[in-house]
Amino acid sequence: MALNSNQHHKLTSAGVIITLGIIFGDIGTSPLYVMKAALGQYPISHDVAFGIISCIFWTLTLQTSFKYVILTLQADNKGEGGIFSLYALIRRSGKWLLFPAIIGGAALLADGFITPPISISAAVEGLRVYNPDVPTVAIVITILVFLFGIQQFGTAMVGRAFGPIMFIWFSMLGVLGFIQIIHQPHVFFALNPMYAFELLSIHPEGFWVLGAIFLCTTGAEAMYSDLGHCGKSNIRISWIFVKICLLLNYFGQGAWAMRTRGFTVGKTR
Amino acid sequence: MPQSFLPYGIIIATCASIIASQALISGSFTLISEAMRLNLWPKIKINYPSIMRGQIFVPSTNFILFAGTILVTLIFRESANMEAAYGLAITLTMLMTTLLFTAYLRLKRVNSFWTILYLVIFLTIELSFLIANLVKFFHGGYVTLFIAGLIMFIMFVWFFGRKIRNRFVDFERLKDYLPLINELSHDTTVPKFATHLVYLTSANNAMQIESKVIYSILQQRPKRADIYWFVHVDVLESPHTMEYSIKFLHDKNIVRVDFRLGFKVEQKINYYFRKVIEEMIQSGEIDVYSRYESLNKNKVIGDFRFVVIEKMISYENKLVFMDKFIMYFFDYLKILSTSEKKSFGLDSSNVLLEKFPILIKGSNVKLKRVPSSNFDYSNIIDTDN
Repeated sequence: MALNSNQHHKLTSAGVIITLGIIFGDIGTSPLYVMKAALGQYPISHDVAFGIISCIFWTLTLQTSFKYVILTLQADNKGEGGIFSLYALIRRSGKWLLFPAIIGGAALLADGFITPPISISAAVEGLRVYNPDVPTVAIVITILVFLFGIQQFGTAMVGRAFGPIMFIWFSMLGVLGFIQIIHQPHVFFALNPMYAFELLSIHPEGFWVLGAIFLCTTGAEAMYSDLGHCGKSNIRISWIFVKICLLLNYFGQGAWAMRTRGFTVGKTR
Repeated sequence: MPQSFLPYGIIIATCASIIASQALISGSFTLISEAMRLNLWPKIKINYPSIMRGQIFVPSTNFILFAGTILVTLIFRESANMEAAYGLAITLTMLMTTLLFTAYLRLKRVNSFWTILYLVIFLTIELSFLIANLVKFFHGGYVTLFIAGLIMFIMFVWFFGRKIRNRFVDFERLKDYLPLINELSHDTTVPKFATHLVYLTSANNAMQIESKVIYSILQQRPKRADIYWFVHVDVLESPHTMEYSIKFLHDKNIVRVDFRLGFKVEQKINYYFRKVIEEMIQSGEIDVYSRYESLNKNKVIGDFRFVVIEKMISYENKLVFMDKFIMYFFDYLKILSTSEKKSFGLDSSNVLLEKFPILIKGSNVKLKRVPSSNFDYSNIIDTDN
């Protein structure tokens, strides 16, 4: 019988671009709401802004880069990734492993009920600059109807065309961040993890601010799940580009926050 | 952001968010199909809209996600409210991945110092995030946790329900019945049922067979066929394996076929099985033409009949409370899920579905035989005639 072997995903520039569209959507749209959620409805202070970007930097570095891109991606099951592939790989070494697999898989599926509404809403809400009364809910629902409606026709081919758009998106994030950083280059001092630790005591919400910070890495698990579609090396290379753009943007948002010190954004959670 | 650039920015951001959602939807289809093959999810319909590998569409999942996301949008209305609920469930997933990856490191015999260091570092980080995220429970996080709980429940019921059911499946030594089946195959007084009669069996051992299968062939209206096939499907840990092996159990007319399919492979047994027969005919291993001159002349492969036996547990069985509880919901899931014949990709034209209750062996009902003369008619309440 013809063996339907796994096509190996070699590292190619096309592969890296395609990967942008398939893997980094969730992580890539987080800048739309992370900063807003972390600043909350409090007057912005210098140290809080510093602390937030420091926290975001270290979360992206430890959780996304280190745990997922470097370590977890190694646990591929003949090229396939994701929590169930990992479970299939190791299930013989202990019956109890069924439980983490079920809990993890179910929770991952459940979060899928919020990911599309949150990222689409965050993007559409940008329209409020023009008209504060714009009916965002109706627009979001229209987009969702369209999106789920076209699924039956097969979307993998379309998915490939998404790569270039995401390339534009990430470049835009990087450039916009960079423009802000020029005004406040000292924002890079936030690389110092001390600011991250201090944030937990100086932020009005204290330790609980981590709930907002965490939103910057929610897409990491999805990246592992989609390993089979893109291949390890493509993901790793495109992550370098993605992370640089993301960091430029987050630091840019930090720089912007410091210029608007004393103002408030977002809502209290 | 410069004012003049803002409209473009919003358009690109919206595109990016749609792309992110698309990736998530495809990811959910993949997850469900994997769960299905790992026996964690009821068998449901999967479509393959294009020839691209890995391109799947799961109608039920698509609909549930669609309804769910619309509901979430209507309930929360603003991204700020969703932020307050988002992230709790995914922290759980990340924690579980950490546990599974630790088991992976142990399996790979990585130095236990590094394994423990990994576990400690990421348990600390992720538990911190989990605790910080717990507050989201009251801000709407309960919505996702409720959904997660429901999905978990279905997975547990399906996994353990199958286990309980399979515990009550009786197997027979196939060897005892081979001569009988062979005789039936040549007994022209019995009308022929099919050229190829195919049974799906869950017996891992080639020398065993479900007693229901024997019952179906020999008693439940004897089924004469030229070749009897017992087909067994194993789902493997490796994702893309597609293998089969053949074992002749008796001459060339009772054959066992073992399929070994990776957990990412579509289970189109009907299609694979035809391919196997074609290959066997080409290599001359089986000869389906010989018995009928007319067929032989025209090289007709002959007709196929698949018999699928649905196992049902009879509730008179003595199950402990927990098992009964699981089986109660398991039966509901079975009704909702695709039947076995569809899930194996069999088209309905050539499938016979037989249902048998599964009874627990050795039930000790005491029925005493007494001499007819001693029979006491005096205390008969009702006579059924």
